[in-house]
Amino acid sequence: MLEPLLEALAQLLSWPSVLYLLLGTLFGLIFGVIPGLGGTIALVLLLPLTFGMDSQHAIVLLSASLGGVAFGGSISAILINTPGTAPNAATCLDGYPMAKQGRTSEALGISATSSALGAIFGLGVLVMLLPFARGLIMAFSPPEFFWLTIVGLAVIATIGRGNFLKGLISAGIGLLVGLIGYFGQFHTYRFGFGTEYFWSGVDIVPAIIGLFALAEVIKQLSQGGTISPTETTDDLSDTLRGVRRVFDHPKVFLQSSLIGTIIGMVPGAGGAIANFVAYSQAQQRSDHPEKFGTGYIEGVIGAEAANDAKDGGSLLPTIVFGIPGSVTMVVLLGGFLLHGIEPGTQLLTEDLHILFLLILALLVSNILTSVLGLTFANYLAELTQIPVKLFAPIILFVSLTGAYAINTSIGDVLLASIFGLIGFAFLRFGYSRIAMILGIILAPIAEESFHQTVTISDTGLWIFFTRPISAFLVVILVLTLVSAFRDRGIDIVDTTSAGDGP
Amino acid sequence: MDPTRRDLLKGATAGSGIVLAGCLGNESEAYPDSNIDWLGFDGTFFAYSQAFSEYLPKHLPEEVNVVVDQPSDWVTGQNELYRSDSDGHTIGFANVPGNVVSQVLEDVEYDLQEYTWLAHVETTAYSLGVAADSEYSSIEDLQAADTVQFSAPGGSTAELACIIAAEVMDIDAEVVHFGGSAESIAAVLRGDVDATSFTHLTTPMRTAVQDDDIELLITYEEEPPAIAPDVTTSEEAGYDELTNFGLSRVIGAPPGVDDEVQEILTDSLIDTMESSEFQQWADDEDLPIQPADQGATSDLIDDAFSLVENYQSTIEEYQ
Repeated sequence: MLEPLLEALAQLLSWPSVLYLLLGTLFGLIFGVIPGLGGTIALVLLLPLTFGMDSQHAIVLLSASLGGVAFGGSISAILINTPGTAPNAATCLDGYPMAKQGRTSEALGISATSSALGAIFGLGVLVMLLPFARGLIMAFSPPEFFWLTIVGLAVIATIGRGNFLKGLISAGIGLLVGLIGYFGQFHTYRFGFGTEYFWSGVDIVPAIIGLFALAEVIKQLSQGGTISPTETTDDLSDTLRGVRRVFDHPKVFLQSSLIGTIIGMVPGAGGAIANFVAYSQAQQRSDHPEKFGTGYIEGVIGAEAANDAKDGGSLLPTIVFGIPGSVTMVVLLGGFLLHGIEPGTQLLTEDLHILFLLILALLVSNILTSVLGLTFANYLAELTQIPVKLFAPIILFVSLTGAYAINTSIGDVLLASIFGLIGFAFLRFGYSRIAMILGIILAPIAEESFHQTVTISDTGLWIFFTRPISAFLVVILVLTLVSAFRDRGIDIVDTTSAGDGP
Repeated sequence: MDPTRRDLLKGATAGSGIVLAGCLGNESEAYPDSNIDWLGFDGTFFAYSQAFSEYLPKHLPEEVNVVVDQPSDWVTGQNELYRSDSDGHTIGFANVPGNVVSQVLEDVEYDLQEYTWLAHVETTAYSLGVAADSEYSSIEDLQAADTVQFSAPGGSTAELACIIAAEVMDIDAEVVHFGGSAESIAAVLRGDVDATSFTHLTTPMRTAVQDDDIELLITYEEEPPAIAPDVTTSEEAGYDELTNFGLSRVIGAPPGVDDEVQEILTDSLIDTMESSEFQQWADDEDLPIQPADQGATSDLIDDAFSLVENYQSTIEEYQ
């Protein structure tokens, strides 16, 4: 194992691999920051450029861009309450309140450090689990998928500061929206409003851009002033305090990284679930669960550590079985094949040096991105001091361009605009945009896995409870709900609190 | 004598006609005069699309780029292609018979029978596989089972392959729908379902077969694929009807493309596929190339419609 590792390291440090590493990292960072773009689009755009490249250089470029995306997405989540990518959504819950309190550099310090360490954790686990990957990946079947989504749904109704009932209503609306589109189980196209636009469902990216970025722009413009009413006095010491915060909370970091890695391994589960489940677990196990959603450091650590750790996890089924762990991995797998790299035994034996090259490039780009984030945290914090009337048009332009760029569809721009109005209404009346977005993401997975489970079952509905992991997830679900009721008590119908937090 | 108004009108009409004819003539000669948009879709289709994007421009009469666009799904993509201008600047892949199944069974806008077909790229027949540790080790075992559960994406060629194979080989089957080929094959590996059908080019299928995780019980190819040289062919097993049942990658354009433009496109596509650099790319990627012209492609589409219509009631029973 040492020889291919050293070969990969030598390759990574040689010219022009280093150049591709830097370019990929920067490219990924930019695509992570801009709402709507993210890792999948970054890879899709880079793939044709790698066509004539040496396969190893191509792997470095693609992996490095992937490494840059995750932390990039947290920057916009913290600065403008808009997740750069769907898996950064939970970062908004505490990251943005920190920015509003004038603690942007600290939040970015926490995010950068959690991201880098989370990625190292996830990739470390990936390497260690390679020999045992098969059993872990194969343990998750449709019943487990179903419960995972239900746990995710329970989580969204209980996290944040919004009241429980409004959280449920928001999630319910999200579920309904998530059911739009062609449903292969019954060969049915549902709720398409007489157009073909919704055939493959509501695209999550315009929905996120609308619900978060556009809604935020409308809200900020109606209020005026700056994002942070507190004048920022951030300097390097604030950023470094953020770094230290992560080391002060090792339990939250390790637990969230582990959750991120495990959920990342489950094909189809997706980063957003990892992000929210980790956040929820961090809240439930915290000594101060009531502080979550108010700009609490453990919230940022939990969300970001899981977000970056999940990439290591989702690589596992991709490289072992050629079964992509996420949509981004589908494109990365396409890149492998384009360059003649076969997943499976070949990649784990003859081409092990290529696998290590991929892991090292991901690792270094994650670290590089975080170093860049730490270096420029104070300058980024200044952005929260720019008057909203100057900042908002830029966010509007970038967001709508991002919405258009996904499918070069004006329909996506329109959809983002509609979600912008919905998002503003949610903000105005205290409903949870986070709950809605996760409802949209989880609805198709929950429905599909439910039907699959019922079809494959020999024991009727008992299959949902008799498998060990299913039973474990049911226990987690019950504990989540019980602790939510216990901690929140009469807050169930409290109408005074806001949906997503401040 | 001064020209009358009628003379002037006659002259202007004649002049306009000449200019118009000249313009039309130039348009045809100058084709293509802008980039060609290529609807590429995902998976192996995307790999082929990237290769055409790289090599096709070298075989076109004018210097333009081929820009690959990736629609979100097959139906949306085919509708987009069907509606595009028929000036030859938008072309793309079709998945046959998968797109035919959608057209026959779903309420879609596109009509493959009206398309301008340009070229055939390749056809790979399906194979039927079970998990290596499955209780089933032969087609006879499947035939003897009460119900065999197959995994396949809903409304796909793979689903059609399962249904038709079950019908022809008299297997009591049930299709469980999964999101895509990767999820369907994962379901077999986990033991959630008993069997599945894909081409050996499908990455997770190929990986699983190469790693001895999936055992192919029968292939509908004329010769066994290199990754499973000992597998029984449908011809050997006496199921000739299944032989060559597979996924065809064909290239089409919207209805009504000018004959001259069609010819340019078909010639360029065939030249590209027959070029040494494209062949080299295909060898490197281990992907087949079987170039065929418009006539052969149109025949293939007609055959696909006949096949789907023939099994339409059976397919509907499974829904």
